[in-house]
Amino acid sequence: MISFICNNREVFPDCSGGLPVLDWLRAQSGLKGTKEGCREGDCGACTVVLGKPGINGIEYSSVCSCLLPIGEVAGCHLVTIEGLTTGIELTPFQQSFYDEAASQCGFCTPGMIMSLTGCLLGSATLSVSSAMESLDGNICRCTGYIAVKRAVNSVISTLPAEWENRLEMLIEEGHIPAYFTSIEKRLKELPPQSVRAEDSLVAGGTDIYVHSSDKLSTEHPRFLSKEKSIKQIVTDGKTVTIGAAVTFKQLRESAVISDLFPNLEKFLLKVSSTQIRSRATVGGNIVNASPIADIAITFLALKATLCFSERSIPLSEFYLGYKKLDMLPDEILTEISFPTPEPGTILSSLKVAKREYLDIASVNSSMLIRVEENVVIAVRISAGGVAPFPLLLTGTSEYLMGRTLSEKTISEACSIAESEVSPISDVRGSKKYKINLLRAQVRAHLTRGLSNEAL
Amino acid sequence: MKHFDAKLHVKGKSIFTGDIPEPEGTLHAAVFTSPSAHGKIVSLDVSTAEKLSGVIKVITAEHIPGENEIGNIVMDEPLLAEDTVHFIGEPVAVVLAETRGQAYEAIKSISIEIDELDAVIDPREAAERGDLIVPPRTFSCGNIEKAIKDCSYVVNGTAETGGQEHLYLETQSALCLPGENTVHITSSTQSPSYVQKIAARVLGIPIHLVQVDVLRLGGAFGGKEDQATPWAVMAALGTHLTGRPVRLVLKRHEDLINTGKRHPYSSDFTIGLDDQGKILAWKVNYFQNSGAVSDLSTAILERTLFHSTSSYFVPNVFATGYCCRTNIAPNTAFRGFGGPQAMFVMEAAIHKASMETGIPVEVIQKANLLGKGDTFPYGMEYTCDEVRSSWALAEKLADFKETKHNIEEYNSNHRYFKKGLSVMPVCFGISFTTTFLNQANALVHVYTDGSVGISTGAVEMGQGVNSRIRQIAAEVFSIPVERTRVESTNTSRTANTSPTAASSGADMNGNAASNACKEIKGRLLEVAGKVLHCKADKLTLKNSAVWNHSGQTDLSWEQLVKAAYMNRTALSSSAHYATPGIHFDKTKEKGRPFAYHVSGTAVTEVTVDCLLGIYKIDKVSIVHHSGNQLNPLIDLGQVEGALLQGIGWVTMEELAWDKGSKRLLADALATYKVPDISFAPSEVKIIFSEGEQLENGVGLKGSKAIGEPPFMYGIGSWFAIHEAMKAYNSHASPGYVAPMTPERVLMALSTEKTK
Repeated sequence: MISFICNNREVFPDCSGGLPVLDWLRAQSGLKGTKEGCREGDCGACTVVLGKPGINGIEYSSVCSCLLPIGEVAGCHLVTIEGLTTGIELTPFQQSFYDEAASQCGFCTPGMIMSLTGCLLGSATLSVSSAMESLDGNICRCTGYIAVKRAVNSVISTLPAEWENRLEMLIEEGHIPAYFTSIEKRLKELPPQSVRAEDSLVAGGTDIYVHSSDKLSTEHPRFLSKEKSIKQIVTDGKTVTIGAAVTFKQLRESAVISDLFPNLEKFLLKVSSTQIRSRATVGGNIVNASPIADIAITFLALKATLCFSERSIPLSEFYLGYKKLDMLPDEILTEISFPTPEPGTILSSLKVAKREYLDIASVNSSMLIRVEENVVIAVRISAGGVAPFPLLLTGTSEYLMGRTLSEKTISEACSIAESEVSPISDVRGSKKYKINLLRAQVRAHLTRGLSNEAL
Repeated sequence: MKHFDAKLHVKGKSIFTGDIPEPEGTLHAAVFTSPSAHGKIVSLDVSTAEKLSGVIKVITAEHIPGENEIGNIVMDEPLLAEDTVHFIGEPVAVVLAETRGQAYEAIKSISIEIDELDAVIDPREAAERGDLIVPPRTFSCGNIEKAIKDCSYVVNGTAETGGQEHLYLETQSALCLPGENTVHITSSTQSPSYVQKIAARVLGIPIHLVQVDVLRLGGAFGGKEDQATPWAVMAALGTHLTGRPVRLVLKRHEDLINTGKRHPYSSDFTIGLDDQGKILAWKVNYFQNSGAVSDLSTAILERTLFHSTSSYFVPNVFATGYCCRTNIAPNTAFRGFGGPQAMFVMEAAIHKASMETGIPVEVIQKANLLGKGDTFPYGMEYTCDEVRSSWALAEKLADFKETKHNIEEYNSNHRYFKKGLSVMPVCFGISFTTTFLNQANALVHVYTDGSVGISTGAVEMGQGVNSRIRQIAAEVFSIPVERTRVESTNTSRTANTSPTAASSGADMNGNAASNACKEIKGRLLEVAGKVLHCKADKLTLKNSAVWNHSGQTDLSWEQLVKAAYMNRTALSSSAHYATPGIHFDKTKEKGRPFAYHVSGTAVTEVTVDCLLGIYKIDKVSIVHHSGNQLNPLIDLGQVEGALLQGIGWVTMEELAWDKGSKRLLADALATYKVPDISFAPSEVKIIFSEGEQLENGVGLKGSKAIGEPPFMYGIGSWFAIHEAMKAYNSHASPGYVAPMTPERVLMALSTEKTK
């Protein structure tokens, strides 16, 4: 039996741990403000806020309830649209959405309000840009988002400039009800959790729940998130080690990472959405072996090593073919590590898709490079979408080593990159397009990548 | 004035069809569909599915008690395929089970054997084979052949526009409850009366035994005008055959595959101009990709023909349209209803003419804008001057000359980043082009406490029609809006309703509601006259009270209503509205099909990263002639939302089919992308101009329809991106093909530059 607090109520759901929270809310709890839009984490209509007990109190983040197994909620605070107010009053975001008509048909609205609430409760900073960013996983087909932007602006501008306790400030401002202050204590008073763990392994679940939700619904999955040891990012100065169950949210917020690669955050924002980054794991992205796995591409450039319980291998040798891995069925990836780059090294990462955010790349690529007086001292380039698996462009990297960056060198590097790849035509673009796009990205890395120019 | 429904939405308290609690014994339906794009059904085996746990019944065509026909204009669409399948996703069988999971599990064990037939997805190929839904239609005026001979410039070309998935956030859904020999359907439909009529036809019962109720839709955009019907009828059939409630809610993946979208068009054009850029001749052939069955394709093609000259006057026109039957899901209504496709072709032709003649695009556009007194090819006169006035105002709003200068400077200072600018005038006809649909009903009750309930044929889908109707009723009675309520749209309260479509929902249903309220108001004032001992025509309603010539009387609204009831006065009224002054003769293709036109102009500014082939929409400045606005906030939301939907259509929204299997490749939200918040233009400036007054009896209290026209402002993005690309590579040639995806941009930019 598991238990958690749903809004202001302790609940003891009698269901398998694999059941998506969305189904529990709508079919078993009568909480129908949370909507089903797509069941693939691409629309945000089902967004809820999940609060997990952490070192600094409860850590809240927005998540897609369609991809969230209920077993993961054990011992946590689950907040839905129904939990934001206790009476007829509206929260400031609800009021501003009403005032600006930022809600037309209303189907996406609860999800949007929850994303914004997740930002208020859990975002590192509170600003117009962080609030807008929190909506990167919410699709609205009616408003064109213009009224949404107005509504968000008007609320953020009324937030106090400073506060001592964020939770109390949010209660004071009417964003959340007073019961939130009691949650931390009440979570501790829940009975010990007994989560059955006997079936499929689930890390973030953001991919497996897209295609196997029906099967998992009746299972009792084994959740990797329960393994604290593989949820950390640490460095000893020479090597950075990232636990396989580290989420993209953690990766983005990690000082270890941002100190080394200040440019990476912009790229990480293009990896899925706020809701998905709260759950999706670095290890999952690598083991899923998609040919355009965003973080696998980055780690290839970083010369990463994968650690399993018994052995470790270079990431560049891990992929054997399309979705074929050098990995045994019962092996579990525990850590990814990479050497700390020399000072002056730049990591440039690019991703081009139909849509800039929350889309799957046509081609993505990363380049780790150190240039001194226009001469390439060290370089590693990798690319996705151009081969059956994330590919290290060895030939291109070798060619560039020791060369002076000139138009001729860059052109030649683009041509060598082209000769190393074998893209296929599919829904993400024709073979010819992917080749052109890879050439353009190699050029962009070697020009703008060094100067930070972007659209 | 607000969008009143939003107060429920923001709290998650609005009830959509899928939110209605299930009555005891509800069965869940899952639909087994054709895996083949075209073929003869050799065998269909549902016997394994029938035996599975929880499965109550598997319905196939043979179980249909009435007609297996759900066509609306042309009778060519079965509810469940019988001997032939015509597209992937065509319904073949419906499983009813105790749980949704059981129903979906069961469809996996249905087997079908199909003898494959040739399948076509290219409309031109279908036309060559003569596979047209109806014979081609031509709208013409002047003498096209002579005019072409007289032109200084004659430019030929082709233009293609892709389809567009509606992506209403709420998928198709229905819940049907059994009554006493009746069925009660709650459907997420724009057309309750279609659902009612067709359910009756399929069940083989009279229409009055079918009740359809619609509370609200989670978006529709035309996608629930004709295509909500099959799912609602399947639920009704399930209830009819089992006597139990049946719920049917499509999963997103199914909705994407099984339902039709905006029609892709492939068109050939010839445009003829004099040496000043005046357009003298316009010849165009539209090949509409109608999909496997007619659906609304013929009406959509008709609107394409009505808008073939877009916002321009052309004296010699010959426009022909073909509804081409292909083997993809039946394409259907989508905001603009064939108009956007026509306008893209005209803008493409002007753009190409500009490239070939060297006359700037906006010079050609401006020289040909419709003016007061000009006649459309279909014989209707353009009676205002709003196209030209909106153009002039939009040029000012966007600082057109200065912006153009700044862009040239920016472009000369940047190697890869280039900006582009375009102007997009829009002129869109308002009314159903099928004249008889231009009618509406309303039923108004005043209750004894003075509260008011209004029923009309309008369906609320986010466009705010209910708010407008409440405003109108509150205004007639001069009571606060809070005292009014718009009820669900229900075929037992308002019969024979037209779909809520063609931007006309508020105009028509609002006028019907207004007429009903006025009828009651007249009776109430008679009562007031008796109470106050004076003549009714000396009295008015104001601020929730009765007023006479010297001011407010002691008779409040509530007292008046109570007095009327005690006096045995009817406090309910129904009323009808028919749009006046419209007619069309299809034998001549001439007439006055529209009550009026809505016009405006958009100026779009974009930046293209010509190295990576990606772009941003920087700024859109719009002047929109709205008439006397009833609810400015709702109007603003309609323009903003339609704009981004239009931009999506011509930029990132791409449908693709596998050439071999004819399977839709963009069959998930991971593969079909629509604009998100970061893609919305960084700046949108919209000015509403009242424009010229409408004739009496059309529009709603002087306000104009607003749902569809602003969609076409989005077309400007395509041309602005094209301009930016030209600034990088003057030979960049993407062809006149929408959407302008990043792939199309990059591939066109890599066209060899000649030195």
